[in-house]
Amino acid sequence: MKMRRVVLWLALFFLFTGGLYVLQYLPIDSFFGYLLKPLWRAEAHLGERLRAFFQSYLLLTQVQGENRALKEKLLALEQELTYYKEREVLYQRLEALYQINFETKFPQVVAKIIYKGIDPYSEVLVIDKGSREGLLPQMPVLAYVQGMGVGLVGQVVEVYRSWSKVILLTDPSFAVDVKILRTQDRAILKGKGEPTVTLEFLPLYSQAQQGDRVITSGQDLLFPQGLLVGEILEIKKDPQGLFKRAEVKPLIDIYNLDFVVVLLKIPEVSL
Amino acid sequence: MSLRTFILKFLPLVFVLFFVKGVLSQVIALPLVDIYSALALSSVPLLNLNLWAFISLALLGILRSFDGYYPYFIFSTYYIGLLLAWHHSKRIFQQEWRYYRAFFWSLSLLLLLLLEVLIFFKRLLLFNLTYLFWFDLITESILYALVNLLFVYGLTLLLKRVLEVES
Repeated sequence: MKMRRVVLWLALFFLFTGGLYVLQYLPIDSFFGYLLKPLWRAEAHLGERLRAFFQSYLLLTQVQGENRALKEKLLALEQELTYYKEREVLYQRLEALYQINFETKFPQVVAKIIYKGIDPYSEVLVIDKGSREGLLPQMPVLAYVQGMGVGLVGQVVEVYRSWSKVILLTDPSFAVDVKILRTQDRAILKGKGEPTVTLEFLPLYSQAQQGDRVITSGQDLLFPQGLLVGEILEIKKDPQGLFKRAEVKPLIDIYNLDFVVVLLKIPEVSL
Repeated sequence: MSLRTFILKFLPLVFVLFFVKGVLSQVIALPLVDIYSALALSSVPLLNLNLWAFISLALLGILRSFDGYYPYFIFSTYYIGLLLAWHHSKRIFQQEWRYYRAFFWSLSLLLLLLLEVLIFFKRLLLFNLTYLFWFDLITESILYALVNLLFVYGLTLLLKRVLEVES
């Protein structure tokens, strides 16, 4: 009798887990997302309000100092801008002369972040746009970095009708081909489930140093070139001695991010 | 757990915790909080072995998988497995040892860490690991276990009131 009961419970257990195993191959995610989406939206709205409250009322003490620093920075940037305007004119002339044009435009979709699922082992966002708006897996996800330009947030991994899952560039399964803006050395950037990411295969002769900006190179045919990725925190030699390795701090501040831009761009070669 | 308790008490509690976690995740970083695993572990010693207990734990497993980027059945199987392990080990030991529950939770959390780390390494290429990485991973995992153990304890006190179970 006792044996029969154990067998019965075990059979029920396997039936349940087997059912759940089959469930993941059915389009059930889309259904769950459909049910949870209004709730996620309400959470995001309330979270946004709370964050705005803390930022506008409790952090006012820092505003004066920040304002002074920004004014100083603005002066320096205006000088820099004049220099770059001259360079741009020169570049446009050269571009016309050599008939080159690297600028490629892709349609974009602005999406709201409705859920941030982050634990020590994975970093995932849920956005409110899906296949209805033309999203596909592997599409790049970007955001505006205050005062700097367009930064890389991550990549779309799962797409459903009205919502999608995005992995951040800090997720362990994320990798992108990048280059150092100052020295133009190429490397591979990989997430590792931590706030910082690792830059690998940086050539030994590279003159890159702490504080250098890292941007996408466009060589992986997936992410367009020139997207801001992060700043180098530390560089050291690879244990194997063939390359250098660096720790990079992403420029995107995920906790102050409400909206992202999905670039409707699929890989130029099938991966 | 009866159907009535499941619908009127357990589901609203999960709904509230889901909502609170969602709001907080928009405001502050919550990397060490695994509310679904904590809720599953704290409810396992309080549940009767029946269909609704299975469904409750499967639901928590699905929500946990949904929270990240995992296959559904992993966490559901783990939670339901814990329920069966609790009931059978309780029968084997005949009476509840003073620290039995804490011992069970600690072992379960160790198993959870092992599960998380295994899934994590499945998605990570081993050659990009450094010494510092291992140090960070171990520290993070220990903190993750401790924070969740505290949650398990807190949620047990809450669940005892909500489900009206006598200890």
